[in-house]
Amino acid sequence: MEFQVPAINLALLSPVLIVMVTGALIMLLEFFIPETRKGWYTWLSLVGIVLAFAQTATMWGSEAGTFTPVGGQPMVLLDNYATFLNLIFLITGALTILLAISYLRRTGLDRAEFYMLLLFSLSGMMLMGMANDLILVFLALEILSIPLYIMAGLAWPRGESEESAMKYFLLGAFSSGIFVFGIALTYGATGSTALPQVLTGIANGGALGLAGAAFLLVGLGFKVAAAPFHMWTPDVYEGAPTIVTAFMSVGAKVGGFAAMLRIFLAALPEIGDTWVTAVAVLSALTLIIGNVVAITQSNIKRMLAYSSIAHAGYIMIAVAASANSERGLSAALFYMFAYLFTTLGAFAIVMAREHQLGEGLQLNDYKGLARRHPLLALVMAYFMLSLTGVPPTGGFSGKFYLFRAAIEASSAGPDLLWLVLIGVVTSVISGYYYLRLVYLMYMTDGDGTLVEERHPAVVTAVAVTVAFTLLLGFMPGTWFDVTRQAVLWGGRLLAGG
Amino acid sequence: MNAFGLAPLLLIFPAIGVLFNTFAGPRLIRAERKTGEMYAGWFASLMAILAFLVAVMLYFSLRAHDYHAETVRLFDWIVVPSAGFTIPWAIQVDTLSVTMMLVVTGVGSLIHIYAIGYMHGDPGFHRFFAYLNLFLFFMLILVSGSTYLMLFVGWEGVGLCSYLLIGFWFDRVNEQGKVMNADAGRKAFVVNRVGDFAMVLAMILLFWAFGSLDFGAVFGSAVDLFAHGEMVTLFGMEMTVGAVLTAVTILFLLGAAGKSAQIPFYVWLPDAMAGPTPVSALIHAATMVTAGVYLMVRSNVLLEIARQSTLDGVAGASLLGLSGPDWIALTGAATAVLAGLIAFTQFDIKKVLAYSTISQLGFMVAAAGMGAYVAAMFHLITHAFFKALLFLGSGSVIHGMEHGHHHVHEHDHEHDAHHKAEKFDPQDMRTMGGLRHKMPITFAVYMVGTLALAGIFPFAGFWSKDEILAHASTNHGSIFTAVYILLTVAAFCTAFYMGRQIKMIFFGSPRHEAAEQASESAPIMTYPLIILAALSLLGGLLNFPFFTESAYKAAKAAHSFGINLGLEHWLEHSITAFALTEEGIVHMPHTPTWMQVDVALISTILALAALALAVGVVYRKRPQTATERDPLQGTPIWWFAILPFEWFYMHTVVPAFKWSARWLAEVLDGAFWHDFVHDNIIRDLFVGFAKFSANVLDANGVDGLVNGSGRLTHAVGAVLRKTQTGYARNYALGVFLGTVILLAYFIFAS
Repeated sequence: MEFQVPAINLALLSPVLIVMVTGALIMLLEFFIPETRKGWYTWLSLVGIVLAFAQTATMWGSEAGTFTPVGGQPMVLLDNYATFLNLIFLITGALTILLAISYLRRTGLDRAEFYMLLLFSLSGMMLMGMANDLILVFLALEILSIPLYIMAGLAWPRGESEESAMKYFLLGAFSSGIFVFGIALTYGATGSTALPQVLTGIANGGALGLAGAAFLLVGLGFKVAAAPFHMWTPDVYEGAPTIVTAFMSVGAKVGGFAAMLRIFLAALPEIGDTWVTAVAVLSALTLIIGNVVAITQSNIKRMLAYSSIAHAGYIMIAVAASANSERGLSAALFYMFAYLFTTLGAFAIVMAREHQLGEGLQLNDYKGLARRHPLLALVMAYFMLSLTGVPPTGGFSGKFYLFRAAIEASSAGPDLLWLVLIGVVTSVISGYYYLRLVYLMYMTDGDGTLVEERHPAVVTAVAVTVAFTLLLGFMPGTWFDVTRQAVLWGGRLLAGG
Repeated sequence: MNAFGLAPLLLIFPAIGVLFNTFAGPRLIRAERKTGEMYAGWFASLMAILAFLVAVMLYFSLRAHDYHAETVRLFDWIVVPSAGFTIPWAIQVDTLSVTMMLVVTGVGSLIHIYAIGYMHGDPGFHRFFAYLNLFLFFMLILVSGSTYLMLFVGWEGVGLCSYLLIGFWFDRVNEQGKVMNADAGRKAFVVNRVGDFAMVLAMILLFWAFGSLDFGAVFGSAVDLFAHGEMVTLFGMEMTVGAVLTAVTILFLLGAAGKSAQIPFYVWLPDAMAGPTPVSALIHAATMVTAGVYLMVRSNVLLEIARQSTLDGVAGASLLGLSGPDWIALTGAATAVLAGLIAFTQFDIKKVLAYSTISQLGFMVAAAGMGAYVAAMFHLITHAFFKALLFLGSGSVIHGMEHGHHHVHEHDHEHDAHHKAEKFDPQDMRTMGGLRHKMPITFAVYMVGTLALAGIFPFAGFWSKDEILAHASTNHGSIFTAVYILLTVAAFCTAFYMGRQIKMIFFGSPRHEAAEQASESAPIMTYPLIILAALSLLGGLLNFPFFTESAYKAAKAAHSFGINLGLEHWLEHSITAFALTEEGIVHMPHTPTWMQVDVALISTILALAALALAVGVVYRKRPQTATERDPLQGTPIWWFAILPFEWFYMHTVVPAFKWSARWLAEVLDGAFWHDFVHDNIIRDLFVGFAKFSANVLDANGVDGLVNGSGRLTHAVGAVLRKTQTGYARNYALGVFLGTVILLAYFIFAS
C-alpha cells in the first residue's frame, strides 16, 4: 500500500508548536545552564506562552483544517471554538507560571522540569480543542495527562505527592484504556475515526456505536472528574503540590470538556437523545456528590477538589443543553472562562496561606484572616462568592447563562428542568461550605502567621483574576457575545454539527 | 481661528490650581517658607492667568465665528433614557458668558497676584490660594454653564467658597470671646440659603413648564408658547406662560437678592468683610455678588416675556399689579438708595465699600429690571474694575496702617504696656488721616477709583452709571420715573460717602501714631492697583455712547471691519430684544446707546456737588481726633446706621425659617412620623407579625425543614465520604461500575 502524505499546513498549528518548542528548549538548555542559575526557564516559558497567545489571537475568526489525508477529512481543525479554548489554556498557563514563581521557590521545588512539563501538558490541552479525529483526541489526551502525572509527583520525597502521582497515573491509565476501547468500537461501527465520518455512520452503527459512545463518555468523564469517575480527584488534588492542583483543576478539566463537546456535538448528534439523558444523569450525580461531600471536608484543598467536581457538574448541564440549544455550547465556554479566573484566584490565596508544603491547609487555619490580612481575606471572600454564584461575579453570570440554556433546550429535546432544579438546590448547598470559609475569616479569631506574599508576579496574577471575575460579573453580555462567536462555524454550530 | 475646543481648559486650570495648593502647597511652605509661598502663590496666579488667556482666545474665536454662540459639550451628566431626557455638562460660549469669563479671570488674576503680597506670612497661605482657585473654578462653571442646573452648581459652589473665605481666619476671637469671622461666614451661608431655596423653586417651575433646564431650550419654548398664546399645565392647573414666568422672575429676584445682597437679604455682605481683603475685592465686590445680575441678564428672554404679559394684562401675570421685572427694578433702586445712606454712617473703611457695593449692585439689578441689560453688564464690568481697585486700595491702606502700628510697637518699648492695652483697629477711618503723603501710589489709585465710583467724567463709572440713568429717564412710565429718581438720589449719596471716605483717610493730619508711621505697600500689591486704575479710567470705552447719528454710522461701518469697541454690539448677540405684536413675536432692531446730555449733566453736577459738600463743607475741618463724633451723628441720616433691617431679618425671617425647618424635622418627621406612625403603628404591627413568623411559623415549620435538610445533607455527605477509601482499587471499581451502568443504559435505552 502506498502511503500518501496528508496535506499539512503547519501555520495552523503554530501556537501549539510554539508551546512545544519552548518546552523542548527548556529541556535542552537545562543541560547547559548551571543549576545554580535559576529563573531563566520561568521567563522563557512565559515568553513562549505570550508568543503563542499573540499568534492565537491573530487567528480569531479564521476557519481552516489541516492534516487532511487524501480523500479524507482534516484531522486538525482551527475554528473560533478551538481558538477560544486555546486562549483559555494559554491564560491558564500564564497565570499558573506567575503564581508558581514564588511558590516553587518557597517550597524548594523550583526546577526547570515543572515549566517544561507544564508547557507539554499545555500543548496537549490545546490539541484537545483542535482535534477532529478520535485518534488525535487520544493523542492529545495522553500529551495532556502524562506530564500531569509527573507534575503531581513533583514533590517526590514526600509521601502524599508520590501517592497522588501514583493514583492519578493508575486510574488515568485505566480510563485511557476505556477511551481507546471506545475509539475502537466506534471505528468498528462506522469504519472511521474522523468525526465527520463518525457523524454519518453512527446512525447505522447499532449497539456497537452506542457502546463506543458510552466508553468515550467514560474516558472523558474521568478527565473532567464527573461522578462516578471522580474518586481520584480529592486524593490527587490534596497530595499534589498546590500549584499543580491549581493547574490541573482548570487545565485538565477544560481540556476534557473541549474534546467532549467537540466529539458529542460534531460526531454524535444522531444519538443525541441518548447521550443527553446520560450526561444529564451524570451531571446530577456529580452536582450532588461534589457539593454534599464538600460540606464535610476540613482541608481546603480537598474542599476545592470537591468544589471542582461540583463545577464539572454545572458545566455538564451546559453540555446536556448544547445538543438542543444554540446557547448551550457558548454557556459552557463562558462558564469555563469564568471558572478559570475564580479557581486560579482562589488557589492563589490558598498558596499564600500555605507557608510550607502541606501546612496551613486546614479550614481552621483561615480563622481571623480578615483582621490580619484584610485585603487577602476580601479577595478570597469575593472568589468564594463567585464560586457560590452570587452576583456580581463571573460565577453568577456563568450559572445564569447555563441554566437559561438548559431551560431553552428543554423545549426542543429531553427535559432538563429537573436538572436545573438540582443545579439551583446544590448551589444553595455549596453556599454552606464556601461561605463557611468567609465566616471563619471574618467572624472568628485565630492566630498564626502568613507568608508575606508580595511577589509582584503573584500580585499581578491575583489582580488579573479579580479584575476578570468582576468584569464577567458586571459586563457579562460582552463576553457572552464573544463565546457566541466562538461556537459558530460558517454560521452553523461547530463544524459538522 | 477656532479655539472653542479649549473651553474645558477654562475649568481645568483652576482645578489644577486647587489640587496643587491642597496637596503640594503645605509641603512647599513647610519646607521653605519664602520660596514655598512664591511657588504656591504664583502657581495659583498662573492658573488664573492661563484661564484668562483661554477666555481671551474664546473671545477671538467668537469674533472669527461672527459671534455665533457655541456649546462645547463635555459629557452627559444626568441621563434618563426612558424619558429621553439628558442634562449635559456643557460650556456655553457666547458673548455674554465670554464677557463674564474675561471679567472673572482678568480681575481674578490681578487679585491673585495682589494676594501674594497681602497674605505673605499667613499660616494658611496655601489654603487661601486653594480656596481662591476653587472659587474661580465654580464661578467659571456659573458663568459658562449652558443649563440652569450647571449655573446652580456654580451658584452653590461660589457660595461655599464665600463661606470658606469669609471665615478664613475662623479661629480669630474678639474681645467678647466670640469667633466673629466664623460667625460672619455662617451668617452669609444661612442668609443665602433662603435665596437659594427660591432658585431651586424657580428651576422646578421652569422644568415643569418647559421640560428642560437648558438655556436655549427653555428660552425657545417659552417664546414659542408665548407667541402662540398656549397654556402650560402646572399643579393640574392651566396657566399662561406669562403667569409662570412672573413667578419665576420673582423667585429669581429672591435668589439674586441673596447672592447679590439686595433688600431684604443684603445683611450678610457687610459682615462678609471679615474675610481677607483680596476676598472682599474678588468675591464680595467684583464677581460673585454680580452672579444675580448675570442670572437676570442671562434670563432676559424670560424677563421680557413676563413684562410683556403684564402689559398685555394676561391673567395672573403680575404681583400687586406690577410685573416681575418691575419688582426687580424697584428692589434694585430701593437697595441702591438705602445702602448708599447706610454707607454715610460707617467708620470701617471696608464696611463703607461694602455698602457701596450693595448700592452699586442695586444699580445693576435695577438696570436689568428695566430691560437695560447691556447697561447692567456695562456697569457690572466697570464696577468690577473700580470696586476691585478700591478694595485692594483699602487693603493697601490697612496693610500700611498695620505696618505703622508694628513700627510704633518696635520703637516705643517703654510704652509697651500702654499699646497692648489700647485697642487698635487698622480699619477704622477715624484713626487714619493724612495718608496721602505716606502712601502716594495708593492715594493716587484710590482717587481714580473714587472718581470712577462717584461717576465723574471721564472715568469708567460715569459712562456706565449714566447709561442706566439714561435708560430710566428716556422710558415712560411711573416705574421708570421712580427708578430714575431713586437712582439719582443714590448717585448723589455715592459721591458723598466717597468724598467723606477719602477725606477721612488721605487728607487732614494723622489722628493716630499708626497713621503717622504708615508706609507704602510692596510693588507686588501696587502694580495690580495701577493696572486696575488704568482700567477704571479707560473702562468707559467699552461701551462708548454715541453723541450723533453720524458717529453711530461711522462706528457701524468700523464694526463691519471688525473693529469693535462697543459692548452693545458685542452683547447684542446674546441679548434678544423682541416684542409681541399682532403678527407675533418680532425681534426689535437693536438700538444704539445715545448720549443723554441732560441726564449726564444733572448727574455730574450732583456728584460734584456731593463731593464738594463732603470734602469742602461737612468734613472740611473734622474729624480732628480719633474719638471725635461724626458731624452727621445726631442728624436724621444717622438713623440709617441703626436701621432695623438686620434686626428684622435675624429675628423674623431666620427664626421663621429655622422654626419651620425644626418643626418639619422634630414635630412632623420626628414626633409624628417616627415616633407615632413608625414606632406605634408600623413597628408594632411588624414586630407582631415578625414574632409570629419567627416563633410560630419559622421555628416549627421553616426552621424544622431547613435544619432537617441541613442535617440530612450532612448525613448524606458523611455516608458518601465513606466511599472515599483512599484505595486506588476501590476507585477503579467505581469507574468500572459506572462504565457498566452507562454501557447498559446506552445499549438498552435506545
